[in-house]
Amino acid sequence: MIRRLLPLLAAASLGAGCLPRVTDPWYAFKPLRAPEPSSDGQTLIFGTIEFERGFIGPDDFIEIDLTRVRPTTEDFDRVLATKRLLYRAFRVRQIKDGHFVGIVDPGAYELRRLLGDDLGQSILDMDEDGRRATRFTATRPGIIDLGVFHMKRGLLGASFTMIQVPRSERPERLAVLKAAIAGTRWERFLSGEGRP
Amino acid sequence: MISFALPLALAAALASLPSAGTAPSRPTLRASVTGRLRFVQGGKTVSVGDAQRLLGGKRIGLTLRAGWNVAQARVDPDGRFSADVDPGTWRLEWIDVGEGAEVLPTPLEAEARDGRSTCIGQVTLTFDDVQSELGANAAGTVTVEDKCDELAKGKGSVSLAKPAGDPAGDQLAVDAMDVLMGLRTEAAFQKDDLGLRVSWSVPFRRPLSWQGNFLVSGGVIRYWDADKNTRDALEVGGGFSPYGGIELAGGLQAPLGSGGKAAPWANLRWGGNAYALNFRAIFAPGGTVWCFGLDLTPFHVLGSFL
Repeated sequence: MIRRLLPLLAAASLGAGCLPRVTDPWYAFKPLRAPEPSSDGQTLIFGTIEFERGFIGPDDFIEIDLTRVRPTTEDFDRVLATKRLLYRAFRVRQIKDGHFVGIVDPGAYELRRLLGDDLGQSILDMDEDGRRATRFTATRPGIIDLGVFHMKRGLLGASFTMIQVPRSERPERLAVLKAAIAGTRWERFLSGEGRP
Repeated sequence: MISFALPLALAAALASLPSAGTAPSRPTLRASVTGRLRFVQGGKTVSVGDAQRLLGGKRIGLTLRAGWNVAQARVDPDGRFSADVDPGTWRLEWIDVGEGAEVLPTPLEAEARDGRSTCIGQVTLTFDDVQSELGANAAGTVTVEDKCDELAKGKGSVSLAKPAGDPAGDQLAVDAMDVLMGLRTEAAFQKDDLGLRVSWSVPFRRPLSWQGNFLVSGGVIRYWDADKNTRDALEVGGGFSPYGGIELAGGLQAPLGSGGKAAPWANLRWGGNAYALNFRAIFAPGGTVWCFGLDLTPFHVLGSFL
């Protein structure tokens, strides 16, 4: 029995995360949605990453990871937003059309890496300068807009240069944020009430 | 590798949305917190006023937080500060530096007592170079000294600030999903026998596979020999993750329904939450038996498809 089961177990293990999900059609229509705060004093992070189109390499991202620089009480790399959530069909969608929303606790953070949406799920690691340049601090509870990053494709799509786009060139983003936080406790920050 | 074309421009772009603003404290303000903030560079004190001059006039402020509430302290050039707050526990997590902030390497918490002024001590941040590091999240250490005789001059009470828990502690805590993630099935190979193990590993402090975390585990295993005879065993144990993705565990395995003796075992698990390879040694009375297996976490695999 085990001899028959083993290939099945191995296939299921390896397939997890690579194969299409049975809920993909439903997920495709889920709107971007900010998760509710899980503890007091958190900050909502909103941003946008645009990929230059190309034939090789990722055209989009499925996960954005942070490193916490401060406080240093515990080593702390964390996923800010991902499409790879378990049971994602039943949870809020944090990435859509290049926009992402995620929650952090007070601290100083840097963007660490992106996972591409290509078949191999390319890992786009930030270099040292890139990490420092993307460092931000979340202090007072609120909403932080990291802005728009344009991923300019390098030779053969194997590397990218991240360029910041002025917010004024993407005014439609505010509507995206408003829709993402509509009905959540974050909405009260935009209405100026100051706490969820 | 990603290089950045406009790294400096980004820093300026990280402002909060205009309407997000500051979460105002809700002041019943029946208490106050006092103390002194100072910076040290090369063993010498740099006062708040001096630091402001070094930073070209950037305002240096101190903010306390309790949940969603924040309270801005008044800071004098000599570093003495005071803040009117609600009674309760307040966290000191960052120093405001102009539009930016210096997040403390270790957050502090202070107790504000009802109806009183509470001195929380002298808070010292150590830098190699205040001018270039203050506001860049580069402070080396934060310490608190009891200078309240000098600061409060006998007025009010004294309750020194002390190191606070990690602000993300709640997120890192073990939740129901982490507990379900510990239910594993494993196909195991032991000499000529095949085994099916069902085990449950429960993490203590952090999710499974988190570096430095501990766990306890229990499980049952059924072996089939070449003649399809079966034997069962029960095992319990505990483990430790020296690195993310590695679990070292050990315990006792006792045969079920036969007269055999319990034997200690040790196991190395290498892999993620979804699946992993296991290398196991069972120190049986007749000699060490080596096992190899592949485990699978049903809860994780199911979640990957939904």
